[in-house]
Amino acid sequence: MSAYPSVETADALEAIELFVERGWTDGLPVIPPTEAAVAEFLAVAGLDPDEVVLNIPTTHRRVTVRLAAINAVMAGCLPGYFPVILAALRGWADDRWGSGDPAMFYASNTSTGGGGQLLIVNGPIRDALEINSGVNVYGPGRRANATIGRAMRLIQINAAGFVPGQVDNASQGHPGKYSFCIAENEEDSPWEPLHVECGFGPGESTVTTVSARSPEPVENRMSNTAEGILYTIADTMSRLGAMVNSVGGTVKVVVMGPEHANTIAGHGWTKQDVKRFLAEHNRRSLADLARVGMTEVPEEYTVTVDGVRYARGCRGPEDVLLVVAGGYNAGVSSVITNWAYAPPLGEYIITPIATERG
Amino acid sequence: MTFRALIPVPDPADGVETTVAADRASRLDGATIGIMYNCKPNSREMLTAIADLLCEGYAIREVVGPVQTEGILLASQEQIDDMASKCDIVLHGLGDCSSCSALSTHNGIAFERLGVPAVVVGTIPFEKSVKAMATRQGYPDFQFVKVTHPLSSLDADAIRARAREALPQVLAILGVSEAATDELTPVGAGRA
Repeated sequence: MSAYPSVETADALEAIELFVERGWTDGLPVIPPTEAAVAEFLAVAGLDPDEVVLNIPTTHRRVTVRLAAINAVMAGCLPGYFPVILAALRGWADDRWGSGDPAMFYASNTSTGGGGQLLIVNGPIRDALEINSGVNVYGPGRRANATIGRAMRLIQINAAGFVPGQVDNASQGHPGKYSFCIAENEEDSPWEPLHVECGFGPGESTVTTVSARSPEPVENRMSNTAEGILYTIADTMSRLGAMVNSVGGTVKVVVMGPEHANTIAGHGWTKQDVKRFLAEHNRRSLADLARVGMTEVPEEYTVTVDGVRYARGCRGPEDVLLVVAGGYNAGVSSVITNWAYAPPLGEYIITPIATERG
Repeated sequence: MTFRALIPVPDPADGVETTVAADRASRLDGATIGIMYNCKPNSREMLTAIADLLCEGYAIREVVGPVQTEGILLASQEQIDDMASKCDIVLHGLGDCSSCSALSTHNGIAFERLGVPAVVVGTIPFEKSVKAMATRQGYPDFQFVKVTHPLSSLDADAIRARAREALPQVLAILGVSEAATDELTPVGAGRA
């Protein structure tokens, strides 16, 4: 460890400035990673520091446990957060990413389309690490959400080489590219949480990774019916600027606020009922698409309803990745569309978080 | 007393193996041209338009393709091997976005490694994307055809005009003639 490359400065403040000067930052000042601080993270991981947790063959980049730990320290993480980060990195390394195309992880992080990388945490580790799932779920205010998400971005920039303006040339990007980590509000949800839906036990902890654009708010404080709320959400899923990139279907994240979820469940709707409804109504007429320049839609991606031909935005209900999060205080939800090409239908990139406590 | 912090980036040379450019013939007469396109709109059309111009100006023996990359943007190694075995030069693209520029460069350098000169067509705003990928592929001086952005939204006439704009650079990259590459309209060349 002592032989690992380092820089010397007069003090920590000078190191902070040096890191900015070298471009080893997301633009914000970082915590200078001392050997002692990194050692604490490595101890929590209990892995060989040189183990490669993410390999990017397109650019011959390899992210090791040590590089991940260094960047996690820089982000301001506590050592206890590191298992979430390692699990998320294993999610990024999943070969189902982008339909199994080996270049799609690279593409999803460099595209002009500007995807970020969303993490959704489930299970008891949310409480243990105080990961926010309630009010202001997208931030600010909670160290775990802010720094775990930031660590993932710093790993992208520093260890994986997705340097903004050089390799990552997103036309606009979005604020989630600084940090994008939420937890599911399992306590206020009327339905089974995401990890249980995916076959994990309620006592297990997981992190789900999605190549994600920014959250789009869905506000409906008027409707007291399931259909009224769900039409509002389906409309946001089906806006033209999203549909022209998702005709045929890919995973879309619906982050439903607890008030919406409980109103809908109060009318007897299960989680699967909701997913079916949203998948069915995630569509846009071919006439609307043609108006904005999309004149060719393959026949297999269309459906005719009441004589009108539509392009579908979901392959099936499984393309609706539904979680409940946010404060139980208003009729507010959000939709996050996906950048990457779809994984196999019904599969999400969800990874168990290894902790001593399981 | 000094403060010591660990470096958060890998060695820049880690994983990089030098790529040697393919030898260039001094003339195109008798050459077989391959066209490999990706999923970007107008990719096939732009590359075909360039091939048509080459066929008009030179005694091209044959045009192979167009063949689309098997991956969404990357060609399979089998495709690269197959086209390299049949062609003297390959036209490839498009790169009119960040990831498609970089991955077109990835494919182009794979041809160069096999001794086949590759002409990768992209647009001006993505020079850095190409440079970054070329550096990771061990060929930092890799040159691509830089045409005015955009390409994907153009009609057929405009694509043919872009192909004519590209021709001097195509010939320069192939070593057939010296051509100025700095007379382009700098659309989209904004500060990064």
